[in-house]
Amino acid sequence: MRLVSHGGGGAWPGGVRGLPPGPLGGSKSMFGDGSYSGNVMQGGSVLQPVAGVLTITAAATIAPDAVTGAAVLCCDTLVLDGASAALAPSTNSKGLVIYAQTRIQLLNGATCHINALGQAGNFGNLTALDLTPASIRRTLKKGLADVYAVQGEGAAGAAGAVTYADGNTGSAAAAMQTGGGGSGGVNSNGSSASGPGGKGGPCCGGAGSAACVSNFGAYSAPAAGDYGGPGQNAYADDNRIATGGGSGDPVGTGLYGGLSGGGAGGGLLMLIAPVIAIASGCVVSADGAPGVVGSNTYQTGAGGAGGGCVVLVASAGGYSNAGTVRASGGAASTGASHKNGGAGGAGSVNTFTI
Amino acid sequence: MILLHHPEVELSRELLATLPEGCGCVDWTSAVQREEYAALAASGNGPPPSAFPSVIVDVPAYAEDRPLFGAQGEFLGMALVTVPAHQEALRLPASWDAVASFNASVAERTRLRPAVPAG
Repeated sequence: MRLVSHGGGGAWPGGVRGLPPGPLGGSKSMFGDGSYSGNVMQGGSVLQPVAGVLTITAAATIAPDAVTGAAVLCCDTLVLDGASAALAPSTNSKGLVIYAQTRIQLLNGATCHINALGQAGNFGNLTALDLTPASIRRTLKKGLADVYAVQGEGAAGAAGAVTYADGNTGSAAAAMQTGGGGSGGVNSNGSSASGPGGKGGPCCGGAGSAACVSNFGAYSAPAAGDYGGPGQNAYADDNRIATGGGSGDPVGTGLYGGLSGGGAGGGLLMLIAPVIAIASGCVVSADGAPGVVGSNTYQTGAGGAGGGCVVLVASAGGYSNAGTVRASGGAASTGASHKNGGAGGAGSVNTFTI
Repeated sequence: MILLHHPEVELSRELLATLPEGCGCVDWTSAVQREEYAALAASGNGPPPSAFPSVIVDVPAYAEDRPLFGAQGEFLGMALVTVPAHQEALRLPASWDAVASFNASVAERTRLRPAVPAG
C-alpha cells in the first residue's frame, strides 16, 4: 500500500503545501487557517460568522482560555461596526489575541480593547504563541506568532510622594513593554509617604499605590505590587478623610468613603492579520484604570495603573490607521480636596509588517 | 510647550497639524527623540507621559494653603507655602484652546496667590 503524504503539496484541495484546509476551506497560515474559534459572545449568545465574516455590532466578549489564560479569537474576517461595537475579554486575562486570516476592520466608532483588564503575574517574556490554545495553535504556520515577544518586566512604578503632595506618574514603557503604576497622594503632618507604584508585567500595566493619610508620626505606606498588582489598600489614621485604594490586579480598598481602585492596568492586546484597517473615530486600546478618590468632603487620591501593550502585525502595506491605537496609563485621580494620586505611565504601541 | 506626540493616535495627529508657533514636538515613536525627552524627565525637567498626546507646560510658582495638625491630630490651622515653578503634562487636551485655557488659569492663580517671599 502506498502511504499518502500530507507534506508534499497539492494533496488537499484548497490547502497550501499539502496541509489540510480548515473547516471554512482555508489553509494554515501565519494568521491562522480562517476557521472560527466559536467563542465571541454578543447579546448572550455565541456570535456566528456569515460567509466567513464575523461582524460585531454591540458589546461582545471573549472568555479567557482555561489553559493559557488569554482570550484568543481565530476567524477569517473580523469586522467591528458602529459606536456600540466593543470587543474585550470577559474578565481580567493574560491577553486578547486575535488572528484573522483575511482582515480585521474597525468602522464607525467601534472599539477593541483590554482596558483595565490586565492580569498580574511574573510570566516572563510572552509571545502570542504562548497565549494561544492548542486548538488554534495547530492552525498556525510557524514563523510569526512566536516572534514578537512582550517583555516580562514592564516600566518602573512612580516614586512615592512625601509629606503633603500629589502622587507621581509612573514611567512610560519602552517598546514591547507595559507602563509603570502611579503613586498615591499623601496628606501628612510629618514625613509620611505613600508607597511607590508597581512596575508593569507582561500582561498588565503596573499597579498604582494607595493614598496615604497620616497625621500621627511618620508612616511609610506599602508599595504597590510589581507585575501588575496588587494595588495596595488605603492607609488613613484620620477618619475624616476619604482615602482611595490603588488600582491594580487586584485593586486596593479605600477607607472612610474613599473608593477602591478603579481596576487593573492595561492588558496585552495583539491583532494579527494581513490587513488591519482602523477607521477614523475607532479605537484599539489597552488603557490602565484611573486613580480614585472618594465621596467624602476631605479626600486624598490613589495612583492610576499603567498602560498595557498593543502589538499589531500585518502584511506589508496591509496596515492603515485613521483612528487611534493607544495604551494610555490610568488617569490621575482628580478633584481631591487634599492631594491627588499620580497617573499610570503610558504603555507601548508596537506595529510590525511582514 | 512641548507636544508629546504619537502618530497612532488621532487626537495627536490633529494637534500636530495645528502646532502653535514656538511649541516643540517629541515624536514618541522616534527612539532618539524619546531618549532625549527621557533624559529631561530624569533630570526633573519633564514629567513622564501617561498618555498621548500630552502637552508639557510650564507652571509658575504659586502659594498654596496647607493644613497643620498637632501631635494628637488636632487641626491647628492653615499655613501658606510656596509651590515652586514646575512643569506639568496635560493629558489628552482636546484642543490647543484647552491648553491656552490651562495656561491662562495657572497664570491667574499666580497673580492672585503669588509665591510666598523667602525668609
